[in-house]
Amino acid sequence: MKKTNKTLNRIAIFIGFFLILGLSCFSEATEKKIVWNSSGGIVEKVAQKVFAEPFEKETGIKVIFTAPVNFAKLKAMSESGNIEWDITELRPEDMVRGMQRKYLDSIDYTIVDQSDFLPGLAHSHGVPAAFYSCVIGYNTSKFPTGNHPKSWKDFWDVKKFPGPRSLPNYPWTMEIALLADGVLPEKLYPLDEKRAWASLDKIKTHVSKWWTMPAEPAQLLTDKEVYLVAAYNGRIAGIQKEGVPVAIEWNQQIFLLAYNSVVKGAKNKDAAMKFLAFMYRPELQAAWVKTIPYPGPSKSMFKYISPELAKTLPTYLEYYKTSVHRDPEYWAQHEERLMKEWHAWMLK
Amino acid sequence: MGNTPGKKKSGIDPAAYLLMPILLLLCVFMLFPVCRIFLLSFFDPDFTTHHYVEIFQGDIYLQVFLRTSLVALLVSMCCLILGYPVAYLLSDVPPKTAGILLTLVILPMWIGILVRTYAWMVVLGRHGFLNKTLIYFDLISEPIKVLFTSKAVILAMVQILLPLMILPLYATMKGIDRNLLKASRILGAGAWRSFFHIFLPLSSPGIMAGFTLVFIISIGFFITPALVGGRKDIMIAMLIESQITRLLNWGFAAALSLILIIATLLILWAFNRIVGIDKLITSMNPR
Repeated sequence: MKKTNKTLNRIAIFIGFFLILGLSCFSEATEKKIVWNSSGGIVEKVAQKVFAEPFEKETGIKVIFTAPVNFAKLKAMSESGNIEWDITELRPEDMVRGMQRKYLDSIDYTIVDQSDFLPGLAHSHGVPAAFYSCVIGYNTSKFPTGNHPKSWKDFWDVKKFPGPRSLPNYPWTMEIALLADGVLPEKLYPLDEKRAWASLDKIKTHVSKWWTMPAEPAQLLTDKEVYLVAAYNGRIAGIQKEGVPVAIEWNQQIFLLAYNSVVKGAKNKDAAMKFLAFMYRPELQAAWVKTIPYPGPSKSMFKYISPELAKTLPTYLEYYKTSVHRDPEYWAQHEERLMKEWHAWMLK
Repeated sequence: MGNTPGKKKSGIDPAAYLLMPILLLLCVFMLFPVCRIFLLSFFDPDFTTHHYVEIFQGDIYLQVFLRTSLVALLVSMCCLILGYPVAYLLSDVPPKTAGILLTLVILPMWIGILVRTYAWMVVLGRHGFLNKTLIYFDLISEPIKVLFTSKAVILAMVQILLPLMILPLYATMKGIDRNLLKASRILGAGAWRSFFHIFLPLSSPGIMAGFTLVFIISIGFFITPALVGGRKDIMIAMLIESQITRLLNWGFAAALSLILIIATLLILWAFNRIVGIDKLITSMNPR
């Protein structure tokens, strides 16, 4: 008898625990807030200070951060109908797929002002959140600046620029391969896949590491494991600051971005639109870029920052002019097949 | 705690209730999700086998499966060969010394896998510790390429998983009655014969346990091969991950996972047959 009493007690505690858990979730929902799913880490810390705090002061709406950016989770949320996020950051291809699968709401551009944006970058279902790019990073003691690889063609030129290299272990490296083979940036899409594989065959044996994590190429340059990489600009800038002899060649930068999208069925859609409009004020964009090297789409932001800082950003006009743009629609459609072919090519 | 022969059991052994919490946990958090995966791979949303057809038609998946199993087998074998003597030593020294040595075995497990993998990159790199040492002693003139090859993958995985082999081996060996060895020696067996006929068979449950543990973990390994491996070192877990998070092809990922589970069970079953654990199961009860 005593034994059953004890068991009952335990069950009661167990149930109570879940009740409390449930109640706390419930009470949270009544507050005025929006949930922004972003990359977390330093990005979240800076966004909290630059965007979220002044926004709360002005409107009384609290911004709750979650991380990481995960398209699979968005799918799970939308399919189960339990939408936790109001705004989420997304890769362009995922935003296109999210739009096609009806996971996302369209952006209300009567609230979000796009007149200050770099042309052609605002999307019906996503506001450009941050730009970065895939650039040529090189070891300056091996290739002194001025005498360094200045294009993807040079990157492929193993006679003029000998030494091990590192390229991304993702099918979109095919873009780089085509540029290296002489395809003009504006004629890149649709990809000439056959030509891309042939071009990749030429560089294959000179690539000592195909990287999967963005931090890898920076580490490889630091350890002198390789002399040349295709990597994200922020990573190269990071080790440059630490004193590693490396530099960035911006010519033909593969211009990349992340979007902020509003999730369909979001609990606080109106507040989310308001927040997006708030975020893109040029002075806030300038404050953001002072710590995070990934600028937003604002053109007039450059008025608020020093020319030295401007020159480290992928949206700096001179770099932007020669940049190559990825077609997210193409990748949303072909990524699955190309990923498979990519693995097959790797195993060959 | 074993069944006393001759005495008939009535109902369930009360001790079996002790298993209830873990059984419940496994049903909710393992059996149920695995069944869901099983269903997910066959319905899209109507019944279909096209995921499986795609896996068996395209040669890359089978190739990667084969490669993954080979790496896992090799790693488990290396761990066994390296771990067996260590476990033997541990079980043979006085308890105090064993305690210190065991701590040394377990110590690396307190360091994260990622950190240990990066450490291997520092050791094996072109300008790493290994190459610098070899060049210093004039053994080589040009740096040798170890990092970003399968050798590096095996080496790093063996180092990471070795404690998981040593611990079950040690536990089994500790329970082996050393008087049996003495008895065999008295009866005229040489040291090797006594080892191969007495000690090795008695330690086989430990071999099986350690091998299973290391094999199962290494077949799902992910970060280490991605970081220190070359372009051909693709493990099946990497393909499953990209199907889930990048391509959102959950049905296909489920099919790959299910085949992985079945393949793992088959390999373990085959290994079990070779080691012959069922014949030796009695030696599992040390006392």
